Amino acid sequence: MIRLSGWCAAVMVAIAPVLVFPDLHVFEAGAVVAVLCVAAVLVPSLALAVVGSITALLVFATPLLLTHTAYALFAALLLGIGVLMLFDATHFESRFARSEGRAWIISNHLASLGAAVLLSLITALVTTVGVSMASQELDLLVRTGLVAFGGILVIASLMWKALQ
Amino acid sequence: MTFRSSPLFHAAATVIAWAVCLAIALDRVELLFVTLPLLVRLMWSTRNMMVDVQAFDLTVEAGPRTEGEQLAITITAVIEPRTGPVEILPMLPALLTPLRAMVQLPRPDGAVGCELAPACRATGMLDFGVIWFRLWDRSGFWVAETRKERRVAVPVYPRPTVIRALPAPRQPGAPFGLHPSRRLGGGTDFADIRPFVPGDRMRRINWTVSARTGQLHVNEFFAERSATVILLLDSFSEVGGRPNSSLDHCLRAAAGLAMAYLRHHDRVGLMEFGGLLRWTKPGAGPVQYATILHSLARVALAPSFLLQDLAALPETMLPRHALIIALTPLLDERFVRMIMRLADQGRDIVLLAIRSDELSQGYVPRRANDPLIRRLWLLERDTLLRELRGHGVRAAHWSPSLPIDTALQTVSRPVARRQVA
Repeated sequence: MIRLSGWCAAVMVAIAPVLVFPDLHVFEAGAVVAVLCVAAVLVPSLALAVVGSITALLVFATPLLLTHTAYALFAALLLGIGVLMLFDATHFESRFARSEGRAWIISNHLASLGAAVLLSLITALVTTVGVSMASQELDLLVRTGLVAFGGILVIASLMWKALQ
Repeated sequence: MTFRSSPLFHAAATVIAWAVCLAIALDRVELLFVTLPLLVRLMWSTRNMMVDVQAFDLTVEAGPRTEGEQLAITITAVIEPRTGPVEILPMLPALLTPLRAMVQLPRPDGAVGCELAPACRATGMLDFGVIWFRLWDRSGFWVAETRKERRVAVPVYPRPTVIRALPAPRQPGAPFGLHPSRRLGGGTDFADIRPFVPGDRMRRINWTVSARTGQLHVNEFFAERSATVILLLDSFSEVGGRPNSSLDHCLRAAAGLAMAYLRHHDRVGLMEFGGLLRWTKPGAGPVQYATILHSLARVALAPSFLLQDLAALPETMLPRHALIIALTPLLDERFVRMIMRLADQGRDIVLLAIRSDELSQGYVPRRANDPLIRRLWLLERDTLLRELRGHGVRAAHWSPSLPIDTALQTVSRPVARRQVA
């Protein structure tokens, strides 16, 4: 079941760039990413999952530079959920695959993952609506500055959480 | 105990950092949305929690075990406060079959527990009690580990080999045994016929001979005595891997011999001769069998250069009239020399030399398994056994792939001792 969710994650990660820019080369790059992600779940190796995810980010960023579509936010969220599921499945397989009693924790684990995905969707919706309402009057330079500030906040919060 | 970041956290942090950098560099806010599910999961995780494993208990099924049997182990603990999955990792000794880690979700009251049933692979003293608990938070981003200890010691007894052909002692000792002695008495083995004298029992009259000769004759029988047997184990060296090493075969054979001799009402003792010298005084009865099994469970290789002299041991430990049965892979010269010294003292010694070449086949390079090398090795070994026989030792090869009776039959009867110049 967990492995299945990992494979679904690989498909989601591979499809996300194609949604932004439906092209054969993008599809091929997505296929390579999917192979990396599936291998990460099968091995299982978190390092390979990280490589697959970063490759997916790069593949996703390339069509973003070429085109602007209405689906970009949705595709980004899909990619994010895919990466989360991929990490989750790889981590579960590497830690608990050879453990006795893993069947008893799978349902709890999937429920927790489902709740995280649902919360992400809600947060994304709220953020999109909020940002679109607030940024209509903003200058391009200010928007870039805001994005950078948000990024710094995210990194800082990560470090705070880790070093606590 | 506090949580620390797990590899999953580092993986997520790396991807988030890449996404944020790309978003800033390419000026595309969509890339920040990629990090949203990971961030939500991260913020939802419980980092600040102090966690502890309380009420830890480790119980083991009471009583000794025999090799091959399962050992029931119960581990219980309470995780305070309740966390996500808990891995229970018991550090079991190599004498038990390896087990996989146990993963559980704590119950609402924080209790976790598991019952393990590893099989006892080989004889020995199981001494363990260290259990590792690895606690994960629900997201998998944070992990904590703690070590709990409660020492338990369980002896694993050898599975006795079935033995039918017991070597007879040269000098049976105390009465009430089953070994025929040279003295005449109230046994069952026929010895001679002699004329009746007043005081002879009526049931011993040989009526056939009496009728033929016209004078009363009675049958005479050999007296039956018990013997004192000392099982001498060579713990200098071991060949092969457990549970099929030379030591394992010797332990099983020793247990089988002890059982068989004790059934014959003999007195049996045990002597472990290696780096350490340990002994169990000769005794009889079921209690002595349990004592010997317990001593066998403690037998282990202990490398040492300090050599004890068995020939100088007191009479109570190594009686002069005792039958000594030595079980050895015959690899250490010190053991061979000691056997020769004992034999030169006129002691009755049976030596079973286990064929270590058969046990080492899986562990030596293919070149060393060449038939020519094995033949040369066997020739050297035959020479050594011949030398031991020259000292009056009843020595025989013992192939672990064959029943031990095949080796015991060749040494079952005592031989007249030849004087060595």
